[in-house]
Amino acid sequence: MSNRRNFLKGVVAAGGAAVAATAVTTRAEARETRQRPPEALGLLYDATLCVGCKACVAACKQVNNNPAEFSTVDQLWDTPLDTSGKTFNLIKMYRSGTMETKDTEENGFAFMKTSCMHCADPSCVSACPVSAMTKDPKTGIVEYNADACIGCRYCVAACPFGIPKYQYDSPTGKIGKCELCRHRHKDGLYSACAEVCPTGATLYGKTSDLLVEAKRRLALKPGSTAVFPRGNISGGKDQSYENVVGNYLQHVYGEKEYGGTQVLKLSAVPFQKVGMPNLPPEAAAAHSENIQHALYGGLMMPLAVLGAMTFVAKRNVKHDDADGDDQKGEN
Amino acid sequence: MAANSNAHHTPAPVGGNLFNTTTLVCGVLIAIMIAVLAVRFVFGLGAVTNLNDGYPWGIWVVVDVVIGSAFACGGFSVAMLVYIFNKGQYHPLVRPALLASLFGYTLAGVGVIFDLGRW
Ligand code: SF4
Ligand code: SF4
Ligand code: SF4
Repeated sequence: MSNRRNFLKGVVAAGGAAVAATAVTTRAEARETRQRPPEALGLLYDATLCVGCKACVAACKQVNNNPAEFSTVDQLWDTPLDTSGKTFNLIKMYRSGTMETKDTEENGFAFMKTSCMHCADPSCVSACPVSAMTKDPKTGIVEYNADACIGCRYCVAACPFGIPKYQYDSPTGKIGKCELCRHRHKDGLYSACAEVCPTGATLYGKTSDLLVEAKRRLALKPGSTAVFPRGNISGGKDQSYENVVGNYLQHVYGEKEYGGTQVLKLSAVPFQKVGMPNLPPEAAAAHSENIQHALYGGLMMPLAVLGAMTFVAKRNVKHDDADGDDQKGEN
Repeated sequence: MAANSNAHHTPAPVGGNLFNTTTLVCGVLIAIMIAVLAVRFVFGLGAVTNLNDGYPWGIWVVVDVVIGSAFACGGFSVAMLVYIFNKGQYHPLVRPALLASLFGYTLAGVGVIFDLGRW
């Protein structure tokens, strides 16, 4: 009898010690929101330069071998109403009142690009249970591996921008999302959407270069004329041209949001009005991983529960000849 | 420890006809389920679940996780009551509770496989 009692005491003590030890280590492991890698690649989308031609939407379809999607009766043109498992990039329109002037909040209109932001600390990567979504440590591109994916659609639910989309019309549906045209990089090509953009509204390059360019634009005088690059800002031939400076909000969307995204955006109409959520500088992925790792790190919570149950079981052991019920109502 | 006075009853067959109302109703439900799954495996999840990217998870997840785990919880609760809190008078409930648990986890595990979208 005393043997078992000592054993139980030992179990409880060992459990307690393990719990204490893991509590210390998990606190040390608590991670901050991750930042962009130094060589991060991305896009700069400038809504004031966008003319709404949707050349980028067509180019994105073409290079990703995606079929047209129809929303009109005659089915003549590719007319998707939102991104989908087969539409990775879309230009959406903001409209207000009489829609007289471009890039005005009241009685105006504006464009906004919808495609993956390539977050510094992506929720989709954190949520994916099988690591089918990964972030390249060098380029920071958030990549999708269809061979690993189990189609659980966790990433769809997790992304704050609503980017990963599942193909619900197929028994073996994949997730569709922009991968920054990484399949074209080996041929020396870059993002098709930036390549075809006639006004440089979508610009490709290293995010560090794009951020400098975005800040340069914010410092220009609205209405004046300035030179704007097109295509790839971090290399390739110079395609810059002159255009009128837009009436920018003093905010580079994606500089700080969620620890920073690799796709940056400029706009004259408040970002929430054009469909970009208001996000804190800390990524949800960091929060949720910290909570989860604190609970399960080093099996801390299971050990604590086991320890508590062992303790309760030991206290409640009674002999058949013991009289009555002397428990202390632990349930 | 002394011998437990709350020993198991001797197992005995339930008896009766295998084809009764309960099994027939369940059989019809199973047939409907197989038909739904057949459509799912030809036309994809959208055809039978009405899911979309705004609602990537729907009633199938409710069935897998919420109902399945709820069934499974019974076994844990009763086992905890009897073996941890030592309430021996509830011992006769342990077998049905464990059976329900087995069913619940099987339902959750098998159910989620059909809800996973990439085969
Ligand atoms: S925008 Fe969404 S899909 Fe793209 S990296 Fe961020 S969380 Fe992932
Ligand atoms: S659907 Fe695929 S990529 Fe998305 S979280 Fe599930 S396994 Fe990962
Ligand atoms: S980078 Fe490529 S995949 Fe992404 S939106 Fe542009 S064209 Fe589409």
